[in-house]
Amino acid sequence: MPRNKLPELYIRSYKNSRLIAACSCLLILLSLFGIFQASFDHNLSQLLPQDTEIDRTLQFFAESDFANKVIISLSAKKPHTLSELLREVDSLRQELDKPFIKEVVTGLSDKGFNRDLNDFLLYAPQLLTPSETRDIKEQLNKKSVRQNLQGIYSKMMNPGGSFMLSMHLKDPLGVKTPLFKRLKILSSSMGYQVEIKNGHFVSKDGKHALMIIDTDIPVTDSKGSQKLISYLQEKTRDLPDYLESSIVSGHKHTISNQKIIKSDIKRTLLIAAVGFILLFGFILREARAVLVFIMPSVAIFVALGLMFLYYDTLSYFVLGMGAVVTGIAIDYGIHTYIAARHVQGVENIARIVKPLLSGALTTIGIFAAYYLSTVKAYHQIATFAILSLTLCLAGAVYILPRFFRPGFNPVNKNFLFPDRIAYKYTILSLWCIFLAVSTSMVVQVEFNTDFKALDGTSGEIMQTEKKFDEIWTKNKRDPAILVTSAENREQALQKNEDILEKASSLIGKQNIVSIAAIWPCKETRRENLNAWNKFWQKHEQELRDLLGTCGEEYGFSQNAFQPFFKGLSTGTIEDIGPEQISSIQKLKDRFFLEKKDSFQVLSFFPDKKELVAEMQKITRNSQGTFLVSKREFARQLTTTVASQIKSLAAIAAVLIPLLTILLLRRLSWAALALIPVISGILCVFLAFGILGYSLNAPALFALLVVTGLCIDYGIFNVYAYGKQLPTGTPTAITLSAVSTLIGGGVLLLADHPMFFHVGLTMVSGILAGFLGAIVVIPAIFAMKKENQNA
Amino acid sequence: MFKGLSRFSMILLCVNLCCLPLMSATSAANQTNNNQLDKDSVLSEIENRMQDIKTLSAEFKQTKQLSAFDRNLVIKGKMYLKKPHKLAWHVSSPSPYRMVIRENTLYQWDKASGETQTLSLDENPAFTAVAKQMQMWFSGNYKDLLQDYEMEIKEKDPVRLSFSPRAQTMARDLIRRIVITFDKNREYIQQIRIMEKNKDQTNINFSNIEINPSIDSSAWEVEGAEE
Repeated sequence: MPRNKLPELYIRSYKNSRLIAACSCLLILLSLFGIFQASFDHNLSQLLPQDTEIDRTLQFFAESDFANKVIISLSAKKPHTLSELLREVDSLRQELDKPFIKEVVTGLSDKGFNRDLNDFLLYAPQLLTPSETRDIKEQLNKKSVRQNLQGIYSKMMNPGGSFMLSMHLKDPLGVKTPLFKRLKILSSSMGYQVEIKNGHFVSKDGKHALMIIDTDIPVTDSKGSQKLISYLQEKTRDLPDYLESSIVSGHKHTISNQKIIKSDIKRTLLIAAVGFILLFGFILREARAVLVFIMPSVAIFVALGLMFLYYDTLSYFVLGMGAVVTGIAIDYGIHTYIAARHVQGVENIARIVKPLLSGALTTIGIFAAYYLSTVKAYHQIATFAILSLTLCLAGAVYILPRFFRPGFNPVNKNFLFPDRIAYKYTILSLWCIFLAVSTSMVVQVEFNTDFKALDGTSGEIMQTEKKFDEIWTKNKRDPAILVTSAENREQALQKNEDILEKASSLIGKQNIVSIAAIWPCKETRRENLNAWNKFWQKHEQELRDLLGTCGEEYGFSQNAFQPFFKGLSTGTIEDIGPEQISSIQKLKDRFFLEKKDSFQVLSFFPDKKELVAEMQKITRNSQGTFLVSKREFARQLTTTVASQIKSLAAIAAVLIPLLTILLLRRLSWAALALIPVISGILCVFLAFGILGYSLNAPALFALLVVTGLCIDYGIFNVYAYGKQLPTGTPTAITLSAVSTLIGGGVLLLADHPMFFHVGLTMVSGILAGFLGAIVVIPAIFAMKKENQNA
Repeated sequence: MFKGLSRFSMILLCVNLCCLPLMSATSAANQTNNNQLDKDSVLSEIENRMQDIKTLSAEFKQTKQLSAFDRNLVIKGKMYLKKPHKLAWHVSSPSPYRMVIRENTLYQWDKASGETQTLSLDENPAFTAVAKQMQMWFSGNYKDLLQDYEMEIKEKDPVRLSFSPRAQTMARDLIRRIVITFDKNREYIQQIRIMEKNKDQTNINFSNIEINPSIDSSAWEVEGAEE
C-alpha cells in the first residue's frame, strides 16, 4: 500500500459509522456467547513444554495414582503413649469413607500379615529358584536336620514358643527362608522409612504414625481437591487435643496455587484499575479521559469471550496476564487521545496511524513468536494478546476519537523533560555507563528452568512437607522408575524380567526393587516348579527318614512334619495371578499400572545420575520401556525450555530490527529506534542481577513483551522527531509507559513467584526502554542537529 | 527366617508372660481381703497395689500338650522381672535355656546348640511391644490390655479369670483363651492355662513367688551375649 494512502484510507473508513457499529455489536455478541462457556484451570503442566519425554513422564504421573495419594502423619504429645496414638489412628481410619476416600492404609495388621505370610509361603514351590531348591540338598543330613529340630525344640522352652510351632512344622529346615528376605520389598518399596508396630506404620523413633489415603480425586481437580482437603481437615480437627496431625498431598499444592493466583489476580486488577484512574484523573484532568482506560478493558473482555469460542478452558495464567496486556493495549488509546485533542482532530490521528500500526504489528509479531513455543499456556497468551491488541488498536482509532473534541491540547509536549536537550552529552554519557554496567551483568544472571520455581505453594505447606520429610523420608530422593509396558500382565512381567537381567549386570541387583523378586512371570515360575518337583521326587523319602529318626530323639510324633510334605505339592497352580495372593495384592498399586489397552510393570532404582544413564542404555534399545526419573525430568525440562527460549530470542532478534527497518525505511532511524529495546533488555538483566534472582521461563517471555513495547516507543519517537509531527508523541509515550508500569508494577505485589518475576521484568525493562526513547533518542537527535548546524 | 518367625513368637510370648504379674498383683490385692470381683473393681484394685512392685521372681513348671509331640513337654525354671525394662526366663530342665530382655535388646541362648542370639528391639518392633506390655502390667495400667482382651470372671472360689482375645487382634488367630487360676486363699496365682486355636495347651504353674526380692545381676546375663 502506498505510504500516503494509509491516512486517507483511515479517514474514509472512520466515517463509515454503521459498519463500525455493526462490527462492534457482532464482536460483543460473540464474546458474550463465549463468556457463558468460560472455564479456567490452573494446571501447571500447561506451562511446561510439550515434549515426548516430558509428556510421557507427566502422563505417567497422571495415570498412576502416585500423585493422588494423601498422607496423614499423626503424633501424640507427651505423656500420651504410642498405643493411644494408634488407637486414634484406627478410629480416624474408621471415619474416613466414600465418596472422597477410596482406601485407607495404616499398616499391615499383624493378623493380616500372618495370613499374608502363610498365603505367600504356600507358593514356595514355584517361587524358589532352581538354585535355591538345589541348595536344600546341603541340609539333607543328620547333622543339619538335628540342628534345625533342636532350634524348634528350644523355641518351645519359652512361654510363647508353641504359638509358632505350626509354622515350624510346615518348614522344619527353613527352605523357604529366601522368600522372607524377598518380602522385605514390602517396606523398601513404600518410599517411606516405616516400621510396623502393632500392625501400624510407625516412624523409627516410634513417635509418629502414618496413614496412606487413596482417593479418586485427581490432584489436578481444584474443586475436588478443595472438598477432599476440607473433609480431611474436618476429620482431623475432631481428634483429641493431644494429637498433632499434618496432611501432605499434591492436592494442597493445587489449592494453594489456585488461592494465591486468584488473590493475586483480584489484587493486581484492583490496584491497576485504581492506578489508571488516578493517572488519568490527575494528569489529564478530564473525566472522559477515563474512556482511554475503559477501552482496553472492554477489548480484553471481548477478546476473552472470543477466546472461549475456540478454547474449552483457559489457564488462569492467561487471565493473570490481563493486567500486562491492559498496560500494553492502553498505549494506542493514549496516542489517539493526545492526537484527537489536537486542533486537527481525526486528521491528526490519521498522521499517527502508521506508527501506531507499525508499533502494533511489531508487538503482535513478538507475541506471534509465542506460537513457536510448545507450551500450551503461551499459545493461549499469544492468542489473547494478539486479539486484545488488535481490538484495542481498532477501538482506539475508530471508536475512541468519537468521544473527544479537538481544539485542546491537554498537556505540554515537553512537560516532563523541558531541558533534556541542554544535557544531551551528560545523558549520553550516563547511558553509556548504564550500558557498560548492565552488559557486565548479563553473564552473571543465571537461567532457572526448574518448574518448582513456578510453584506458588504457601510457605506453611512447604514447612509441613519439610517436617514430614525429616520424619518419614529422611530427605531421601524418590527412586527412579523403570516402566515396562506390554499388552498384558504376563508379557509385561516377562519383559520386565528380561530387562532386569540386563540391568542387574549394569547397575547391580542390589540397586533394583522389582516385583520379579517375589512374583516372577509364568515361564520362570514353571521352571522353578519343575526344578522343585524334580528335586523332591528324588529326595522326599530321604528327608522323611531323616525327620523320622532325628525327630524321635526330641519327642516329635511321626506325623509331626506331615504339613511340610503336604506343602510339597500345594501352591503349584501356575495359572494364578498376583492379585489372588494377598501379600502381592497389597503391592499391586506400587508395582503394576493397568491401562485400557496395556499393562505396565514398575521397578525402582536409586535416582542417581550414573545409574539413570546406565538404565537409559537399556531402555533406548527396548521398545515399550521407559524411565521416569525426577532428575532426568528436570534435565529434559531445562534443555527443552532453554532451547525454546534461544529460538524465540533469535526470532525476536531478527524480527524486531527487520520490521523496524521496513517500517521506518531509514537505517539510521531504525538504529535509533532500537535504543529503547537495548536499554530495556539490559536493564532487566541488571535488575535481576542486583536482586539476585535467576531468570525463569515466564520472565524471559515477559522480556519479549518488553522488547515489543520498547520498539514501539522507539518507532513512535523517532518517527515523531524525524517528521517533526505535532501529535504530542512524547506525552503519549510517557503516559503509555506509566500505564504499562502500573500494569506490570502491580505484579510486583503478587505472591505467586511467576507473576512477581513477570512484574519485575516489565517494570525494569519498560522503565529503561521509556528513558531510552524519551531521553536518549531526543538527545541524539539534538546532537545530530547541532553537528549539522555546525 | 528366625527374624520373621520370632517376631510372632515374641508377640505371643508377651501375651503369655504378661499374665504372670497377675499372681503377685492379685496376691497383693487379696491381702486387703477385698472380695469385690467384678471386672472393673478387680483391675482397679490391682492397679493400685502394683505401684510398689519393683522386682519379682518365681519358679515355674510349664507343661505343654502339643499334638506334634508324642509326649508332654515339661519345662522347669525360674523367671525374674525388674521394672522398668528387664525380664529373664531361665529354663533348667529339660535342657538349659535362657531368654533375657534388657532395655532395648533381647538375648536368647540354649545349651544344646550353644548359640546365642541378640536382637535389637528397635529393629524388631514386636519385641518392643513385649517389653511395653510387660511394663504395662507392672505399672498397673490395664486399660490397654483390655483393649485386646475381654475379661470374664469364671469362678469365684477359687478365683478364675478368663481372658479372650478380641476380634481383629493377632492373638485371636492363635489363642482361644487364657485362664488364670488363683489359690484358695487368693494369695497368688496357681496356674495360667493357655488354650490355643489348634487345641494345643500350655499350663504354667508358679511357686515360691517373691515380691521385691534382691535379684542377682547374673540373672540378666546370657552366655556369649555381647554387652
